[in-house]
Amino acid sequence: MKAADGITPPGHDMALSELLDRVLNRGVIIVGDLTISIADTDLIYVGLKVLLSSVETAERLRPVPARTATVAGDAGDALSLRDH
Amino acid sequence: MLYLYAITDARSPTDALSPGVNDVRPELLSIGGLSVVVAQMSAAPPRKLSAVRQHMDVLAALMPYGTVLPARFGTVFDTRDELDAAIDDMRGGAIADLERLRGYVELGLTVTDLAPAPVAPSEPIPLAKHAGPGALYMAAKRAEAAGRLARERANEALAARICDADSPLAGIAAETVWRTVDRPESAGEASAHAISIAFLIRGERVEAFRAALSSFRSDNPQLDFLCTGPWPPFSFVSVGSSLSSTSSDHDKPSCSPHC
Repeated sequence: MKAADGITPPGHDMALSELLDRVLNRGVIIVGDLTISIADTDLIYVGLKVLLSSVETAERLRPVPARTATVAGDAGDALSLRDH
Repeated sequence: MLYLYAITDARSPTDALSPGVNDVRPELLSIGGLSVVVAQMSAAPPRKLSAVRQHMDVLAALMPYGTVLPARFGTVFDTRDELDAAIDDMRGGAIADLERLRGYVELGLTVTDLAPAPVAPSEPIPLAKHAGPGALYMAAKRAEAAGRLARERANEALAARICDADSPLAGIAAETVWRTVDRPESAGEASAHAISIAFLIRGERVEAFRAALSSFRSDNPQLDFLCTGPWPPFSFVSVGSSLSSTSSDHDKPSCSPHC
């Protein structure tokens, strides 16, 4: 079973955002037991906003050159897109 | 630590599962009569897209074996006792969700209005002849708020067209929920007119939904559609979730925003 089998050939960013929106923000949510405890809903949405823009835009918005969408305030708390 | 993937009614699916997050093969525990899919890990999952995909791959592999209540990525417990306590707390709700969602999958549909009706300018506020910067600022904020409200109303109308019980798409679904897509301002004005709808559909009706969508798209060329899935019913799980907008009445499709 494929997670993002679009009828319309999916825009890559949109299909990815659909995946992240579900896997990071929905389902059985047990408050207080999250490894990514700093990535609560608001912060995840910050990450999605970056993900939804183009890579070029994301790079322009970033203060450092690595291709990383920051979910939190410092590099150690980032959701890395290097394997994207 | 124990990494939680899902609560399921599948009894012995883990033989078919490949290693997931951190390359650890998931296992099935029986807790309070519920089947819980977990993985023993020595370290927390990395905050990488590849780990998110591995999490989703495990959930997708579970789907053919039974109903899956997916856990949010990154849910871990330090000890088995903590996991047992958490599952015990949600046991009643989980059993109800497994019953309610049995045989159903979720399809996602992002709909963008490519030709939205122009927003009528709001009534200008009469300003004094020499209005200061504060008054001008507040007038601009008012106009901005009016535009936002108009877009929200347009999105509600768009959602109503698709989610109303007599719509060909909602007619196939047991439940629907929708929300406005949160887009960056850099994506442009047109992208503000986009909504994301989740449809709860019986597994055997997925193809019927796709056929109905194909027809609906032909009838609505001004709308752009992106359909994803089938997913586990992420948007319809009520246990442990702060979302409470879904209806449990399968005979009467509902349509309500997430937030």
